[in-house]
Amino acid sequence: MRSSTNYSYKAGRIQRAWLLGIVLCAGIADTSAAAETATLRVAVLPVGNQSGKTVPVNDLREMLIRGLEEQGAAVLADAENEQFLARHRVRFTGGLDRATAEAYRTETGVDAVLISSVDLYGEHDPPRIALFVRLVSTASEPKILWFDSVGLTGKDAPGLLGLNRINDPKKLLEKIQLLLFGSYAEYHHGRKSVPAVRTTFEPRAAFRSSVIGSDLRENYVEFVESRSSGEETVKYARIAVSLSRPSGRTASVEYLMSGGSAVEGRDFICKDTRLTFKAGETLKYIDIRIMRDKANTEQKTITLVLKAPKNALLGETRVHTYSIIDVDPEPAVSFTTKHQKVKETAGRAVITAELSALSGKDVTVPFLVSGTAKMPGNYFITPSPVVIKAGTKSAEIVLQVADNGVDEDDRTVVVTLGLPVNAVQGRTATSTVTIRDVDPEPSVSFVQEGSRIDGQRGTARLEVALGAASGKPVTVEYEVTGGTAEPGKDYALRGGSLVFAPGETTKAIEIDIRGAAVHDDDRNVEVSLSRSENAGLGGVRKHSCTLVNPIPAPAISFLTRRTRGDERTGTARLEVGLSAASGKPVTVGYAIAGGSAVQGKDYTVHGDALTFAPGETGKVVELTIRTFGVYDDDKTVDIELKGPRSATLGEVPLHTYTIVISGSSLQAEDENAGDGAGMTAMNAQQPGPAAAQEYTTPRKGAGIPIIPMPAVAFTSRETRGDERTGTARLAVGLSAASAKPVTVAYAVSGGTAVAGTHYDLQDDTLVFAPGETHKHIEVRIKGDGKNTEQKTITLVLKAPKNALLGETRVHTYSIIDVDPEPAVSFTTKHQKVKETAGRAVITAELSALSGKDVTVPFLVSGTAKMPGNYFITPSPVVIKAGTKSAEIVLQVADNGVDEDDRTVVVTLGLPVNAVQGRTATSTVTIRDVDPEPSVSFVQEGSRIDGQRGTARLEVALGAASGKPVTVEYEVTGGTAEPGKDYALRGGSLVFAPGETTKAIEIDIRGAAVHDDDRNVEVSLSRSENAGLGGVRKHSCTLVNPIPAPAISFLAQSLHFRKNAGVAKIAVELSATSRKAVTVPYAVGRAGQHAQGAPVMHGSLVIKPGRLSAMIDVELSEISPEAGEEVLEIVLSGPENASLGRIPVHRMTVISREHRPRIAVIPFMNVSGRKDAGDLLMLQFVKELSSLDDITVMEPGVVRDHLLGMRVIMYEGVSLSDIDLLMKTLDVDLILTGRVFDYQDYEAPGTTPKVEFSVLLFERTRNRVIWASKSYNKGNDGVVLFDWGNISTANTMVTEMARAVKSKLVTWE
Amino acid sequence: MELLRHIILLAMVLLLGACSGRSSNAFRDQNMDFGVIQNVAVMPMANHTREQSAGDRVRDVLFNKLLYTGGLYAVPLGEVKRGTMRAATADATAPSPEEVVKLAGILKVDAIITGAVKEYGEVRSGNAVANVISVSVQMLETQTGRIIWSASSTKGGVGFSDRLLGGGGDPMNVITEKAIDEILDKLFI
Repeated sequence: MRSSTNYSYKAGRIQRAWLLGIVLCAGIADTSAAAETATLRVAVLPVGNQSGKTVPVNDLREMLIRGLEEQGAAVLADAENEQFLARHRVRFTGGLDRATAEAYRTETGVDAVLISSVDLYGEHDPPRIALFVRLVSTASEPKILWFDSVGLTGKDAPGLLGLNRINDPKKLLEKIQLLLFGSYAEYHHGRKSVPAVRTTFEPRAAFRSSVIGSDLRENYVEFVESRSSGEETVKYARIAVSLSRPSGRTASVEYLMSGGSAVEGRDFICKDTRLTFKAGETLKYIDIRIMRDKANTEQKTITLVLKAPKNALLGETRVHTYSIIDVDPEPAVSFTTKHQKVKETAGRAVITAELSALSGKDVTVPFLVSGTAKMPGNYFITPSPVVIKAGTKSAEIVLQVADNGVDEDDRTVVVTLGLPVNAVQGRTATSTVTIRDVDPEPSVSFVQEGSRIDGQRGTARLEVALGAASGKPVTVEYEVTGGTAEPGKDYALRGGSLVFAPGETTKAIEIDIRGAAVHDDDRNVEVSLSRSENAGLGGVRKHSCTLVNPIPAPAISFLTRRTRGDERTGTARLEVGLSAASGKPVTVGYAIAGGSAVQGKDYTVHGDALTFAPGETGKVVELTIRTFGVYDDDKTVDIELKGPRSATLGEVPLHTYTIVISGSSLQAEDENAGDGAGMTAMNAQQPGPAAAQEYTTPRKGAGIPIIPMPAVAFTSRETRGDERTGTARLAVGLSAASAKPVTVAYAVSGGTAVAGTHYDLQDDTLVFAPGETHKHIEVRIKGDGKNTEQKTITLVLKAPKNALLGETRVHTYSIIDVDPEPAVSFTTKHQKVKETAGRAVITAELSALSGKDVTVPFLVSGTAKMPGNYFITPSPVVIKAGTKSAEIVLQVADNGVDEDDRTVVVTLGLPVNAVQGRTATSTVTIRDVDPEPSVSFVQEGSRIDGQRGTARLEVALGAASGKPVTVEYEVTGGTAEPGKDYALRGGSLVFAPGETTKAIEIDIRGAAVHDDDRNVEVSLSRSENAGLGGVRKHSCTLVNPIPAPAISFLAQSLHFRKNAGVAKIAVELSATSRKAVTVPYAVGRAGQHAQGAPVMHGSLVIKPGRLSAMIDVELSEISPEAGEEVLEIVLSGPENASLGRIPVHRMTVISREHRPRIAVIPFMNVSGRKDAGDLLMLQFVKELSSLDDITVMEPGVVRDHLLGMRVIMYEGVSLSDIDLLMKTLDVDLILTGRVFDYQDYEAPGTTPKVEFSVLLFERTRNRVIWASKSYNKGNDGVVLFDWGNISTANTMVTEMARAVKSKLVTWE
Repeated sequence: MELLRHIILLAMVLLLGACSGRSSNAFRDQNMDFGVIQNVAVMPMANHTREQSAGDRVRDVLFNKLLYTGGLYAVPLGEVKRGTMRAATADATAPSPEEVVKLAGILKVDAIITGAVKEYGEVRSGNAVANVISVSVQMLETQTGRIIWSASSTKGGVGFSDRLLGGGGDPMNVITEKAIDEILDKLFI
């Protein structure tokens, strides 16, 4: 029974010409030789014996040689063959390794080697033979050219009555030769028979990995890239998924959205969940419908995950993230109200920041707070910034209004929008809240109704207070409305006003107290408040300030303790004096307090009281002594002062007058007192008249009173009187009356008064008539009308005649100045000067000339600034005595700055030696004459990097201005889109006084994609306090910083089946662009681009906003004859883009899939049959070799590697061995297995039995992709009468292996 | 007639029930999530029969059947051998829990399957001869080495028809497949 399968390399296509190709490739013969030699040169190796029996191997070898030669092959001579085998020590002849093959070719020139082995041989009952034969090329990589096996017994086809039974082994051998070389002839002539697979011999249980294709290689499905992105304006996002290789069957993979920030249904729609690759397809796209949300949001992502692949495995890139780039402009944020008013008692006010449209991002709104209201006094406010949460439209800025209880002006809180984050400024960028004040005005009044102040020279402060603090300046006027004190004499105070600064609650009116010179009654000044501003007048509007006179009452006393006189005296005058002059009349009573004289008999006393006029300091008590002319004892009269008014009693209130009659008292005194020193001492203590008494004192030892020469002297050492007195009378007295006229000269000896100016007095002589004891020198006092210091006149007595000079011969008269202090006033209340005038003069003038230097302090205030606007004479100025005015000079400075007119207010302080006059304030207005400056841009244009940030357009004033300058600006043109490229609304710039530059800030949004440069044109308009200058427009160019995207193929290479129709090759941009990107491309065969002549060419356009586009290649136009064609698509010279990382795409168009390489290694033999493992191996090598799409390794090469690698297989091959073999053999697949039974025909009645399992390993994952279990007996296929019985294990294994091969390759 | 047909049917059911003297037992850890078990290693089977290759044969069938189910991936037997050699497993047919854990690290499997062949070969009952097999299999999870599944099956033997008609019963390969199929049915319930 013939049941073999032959294998011929590329059978049906390559006939003998293959050999020529092999020879050419091997380089062992030149082309001409090969062309001449059409004969196959073959070396036949010795036949191997695996039967375990004695086999006539030489006969078999000769049979094979004959067969070859009959087929036209040239067989290497045995001798040469044997020499070769001996030379190379070839012991194993069951296979051909690379080295031996190479040696055969190079040394013997053979093209192929015939390898054979016998696995069954029996000559009798019946004869049986089974053998394998294969032809292996001697190329550097030995290839199996032809492989067949045959197993026959003599009884395989007995025919009718056993007539066809073969009993002769030679005949059986001839039949085998016929069969084998019939197979060889088919191969030789390029024919190929495909035997049918018998289902009986199919494996019992087989596992085949679902992910392998017909090429037995694992196939992977995965995303081409792990990330991609596109703007939300694109309608569909296309995400490429690829198969690692074309598959002969339909593969599919499920995908799902596993995450990302995008929400399905809202941001995108993805209907399908499965991609299906038809046979041959390697690239598919997941189309996701992108939905534009029309709200400014963050970039959103969609995460796709591949899962549950069918007929493929998941590759590494099984997750893809697609980013949806938001292109919606940012919304505008505005305040909902421009103005609002709230009472300060209202509690709160709300300013709402509102978006023009909902945003998907949190919008942060910074703001600035300004205005006249103060924090925390007037309000608290939500701290900046506020955040408008994503999805909401507004946020509130809450103003907590504080009621501070202070009367003040209405205050404003101005909230100005800053540059918001994730939004632009809207139209209403400023909101003003006016806080209306509702507090009443405070009252102003004196702190107390009256006060007492020591009337010494100094300052009295009358405190005035506000009922409550006020936020406004409070003014109240005051004036003197009464009182006993004399202005100018006792005090200095004119009407004026007090100004309470805001917040100030107390002020004081200061009264300049002049101070009292003499004892007097207390005086008072009554000051009243009137006409208040920003406050009402309170209850205590008047204040009486009592100036307490600090001078104590003078002491009144007798000038001496005792005096005497003889009875002839007539009248005794007892001097009484005041210790100091008094400003009011002083009275004192006196009465007889004792003494030996009898009133009315010896004397009479005149009056009972003395009255001192104001200023008077001396008086006398007169006693009239009666002269009796008779001897008698001296008598005494004691007189006592009592009941003084406006004075106190002095040290000598009792005076004893002695009437000397006989001088007895003198003697007693002499005796008692010795030398009368006590009297002298007393006189020394009591000036004035007491001195006059001294000379009346009798000399010691004088028994009778002697009337000595009287002494002439002033009655007092000094007197005083005011300058209005007219005539001053200076008393000169004689110590006793004289019968002769007494004369005494007098003269002015000194003093500060100037004769003729302050007084008139000529030196003269005073004449006392006889009996006259008192005279006066009259000095005419002249008032100078000026306020001057006190002056003195010193008079001296000299050259007396008929008298002696008394002790008090010098007298000083003091002229008390009573002229009031002059008032000092400014001569002008207002004056105006141009700032170019240079100077202005403010004159301080006295109401009257003064004898003293008048110091005039002054304060300077007003809106003008020093030294910017002026310089002024430093305070104080002095009006020299005798002059009437002084100048305060104002040097006006021309600062060249346009500004408001400025004022300099000069206010008088309290002058020294003068009082404030009526005009205490003088204002000088400095008129500004500078022209308005011009305002304009600093330059006409600028370029700014269009990254997110701020562009500053500088605006400058031609010159600094003293006024706030306002200029409006607005966007008047440009190619940039507001809200998208930048944010800037019209607004205004305010230059503070002195400021010369400001900037308009443009919020640059930053470009996200490549585009042309854009510009914004901003214009200035409507200026205030300045004119518009020359550069009124500014063009700001926003330079697009994003480089042009790179254009590149999505994948470096892809495989396509030729029958796939159109191949779509994806070209993508590295980033989206706002410009259309055009790239020419050319499709040509690999390596031939340089030679031109592309297969096709074209130009691809990627529209703005798109990330990718497809190049369609019609596969039918590509090289129809080639089995596998590699094309290159070359991108070149893109417009608006650069070439990316993959400018060349290799597109492999295949008509036949890749030929995987397979190695079959010996099966593990657990059967009792020797070499069963090798026999199974040979059977599978034979069967697999018949497949066109698989390259099977020559077993000799495999064996060589197994030995070389020392691979020892315990219970089968391990994965590490598999890995090692795959790498060293460079194979994709390894087939092995186990054989449990391999029983051949043993004897009549027996049937062969084979059991084995097969494993197939794939290189990529080093996993089992096929496992099967087969077992059969020879009679399994018997249908009837032994029909279908198989009598050799060789044939049965052939059937079983064929069935396995069939299932392995065509599973479906 | 109808009654007779019912009686015959009942008798046949009872007859079949009497013939099916084969028994099988199974244990399945209810707390185990068998879904996590993807890769297994089939260890050499203890052979308690006179047939030397019984263990290898049954193991090979079990290995192929496991792959055939598609639910589990069985590590090649040669790899298992390499693993036991590396792990120095004393008795590969009955590894200790510690050895199971160690093997799992080498073979990168989620479970290990051990088993024993108790009967394998011909049995004779009177003049009747038939093949019989008795196999027990255990699955040990590799975290702790504990048994999570166990099943056994006995197939073949001299049946009623064998006694009645002779014929020697099913071939050894067939009943081996049946026994393994029955065991695996208890795993994939």
